[in-house]
Amino acid sequence: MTAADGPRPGASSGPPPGAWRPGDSQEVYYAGVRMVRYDLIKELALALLGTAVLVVILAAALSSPDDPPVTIQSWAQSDPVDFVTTAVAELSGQSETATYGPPYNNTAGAAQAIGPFAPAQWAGVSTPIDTAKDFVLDPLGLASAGDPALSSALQTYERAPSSEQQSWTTAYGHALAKGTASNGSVQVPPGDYGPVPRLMNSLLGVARTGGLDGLLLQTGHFYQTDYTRPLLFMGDGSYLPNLAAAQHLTGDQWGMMNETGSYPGQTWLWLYTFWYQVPPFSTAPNADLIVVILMGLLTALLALVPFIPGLRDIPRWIPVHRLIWRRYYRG
Amino acid sequence: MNAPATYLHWGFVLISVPNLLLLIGMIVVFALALLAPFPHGDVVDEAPPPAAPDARGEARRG
Repeated sequence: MTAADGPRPGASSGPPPGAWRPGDSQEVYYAGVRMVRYDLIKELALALLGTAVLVVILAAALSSPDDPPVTIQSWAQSDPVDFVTTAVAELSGQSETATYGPPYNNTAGAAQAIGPFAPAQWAGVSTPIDTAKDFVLDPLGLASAGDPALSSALQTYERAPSSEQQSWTTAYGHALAKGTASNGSVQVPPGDYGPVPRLMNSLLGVARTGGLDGLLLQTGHFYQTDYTRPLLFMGDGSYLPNLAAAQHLTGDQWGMMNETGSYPGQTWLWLYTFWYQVPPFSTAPNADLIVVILMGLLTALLALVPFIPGLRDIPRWIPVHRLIWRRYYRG
Repeated sequence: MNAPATYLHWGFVLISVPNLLLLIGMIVVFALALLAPFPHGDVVDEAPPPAAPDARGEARRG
């Protein structure tokens, strides 16, 4: 039996099945079928009009999230000690970005993996970032034009042996625990820090004017839209993460589905962020990889519902369609 | 709306009141879509049309 000679939808009278043939007119095909007048165009027009009115009213009443942007300038002005502490970690290669691994660098064992399955490692370093050079030394090199003292401090640092550089940054990093900020610079107890305090206070000065935001955005293109470097730099400090935590936007706060202020957020991401809240995902060092794979499997499961025995029978066990088409099933 | 939202916390569940209201709203709309009567137009019981000629031009039973 083909579709063409099967029963017609809704037919309750008229010619019996098989009494019509392919090529028959619509009048013949639908003869005896109960018809209902329905204006689909009218429904579509009214639905669009209603939605448009609702959107205009809600937009006028509620507007949209409008938090001021967090920049390196606002960070350096609000929390200069945290800015300098982070800059020293970038300079010494101890920050989170400096040790993240792919796609930023080749830190051994840093890429998330499940046994031999290591997609980040396979993809390699696609966005190379040398935190000391990109976040500190290169911007200072540009800022040193016309500043012989800064040029000299830069040369002293770059020509020093690696062990001495490490000694200076480690000592200065420890001293920053007692650092205080005043008059746009950071002071620490006396110690053997080499040129590092001079470099850091110069970087702080550039950052406070907004110059570092621009220097980190440089990509050589006309429009600068790649915020990777300033975002990574700010993420390595505690200023931006603390602001995010205060707004419940971090990963362990269901942050994916939250929004700033009192606006509802991306509630449809609830399942994605749910996994990050419960063990073993919440404590796994490769949680991102596990959650991506898990969500991929669940999505495939959803797409394949019609082919999975048991799962495809759920509508029979929970017949919601009978509620929707209750008039038909009552009949 | 830019003021910080109130968050509700039960165990590992942490949800903002705006998100909770949105979820409740979605459930209510879903329930309404199931239960609200579908607007029905005028039922027209059409009488079987007169016999129409088929592709071969022969009159067939309607």
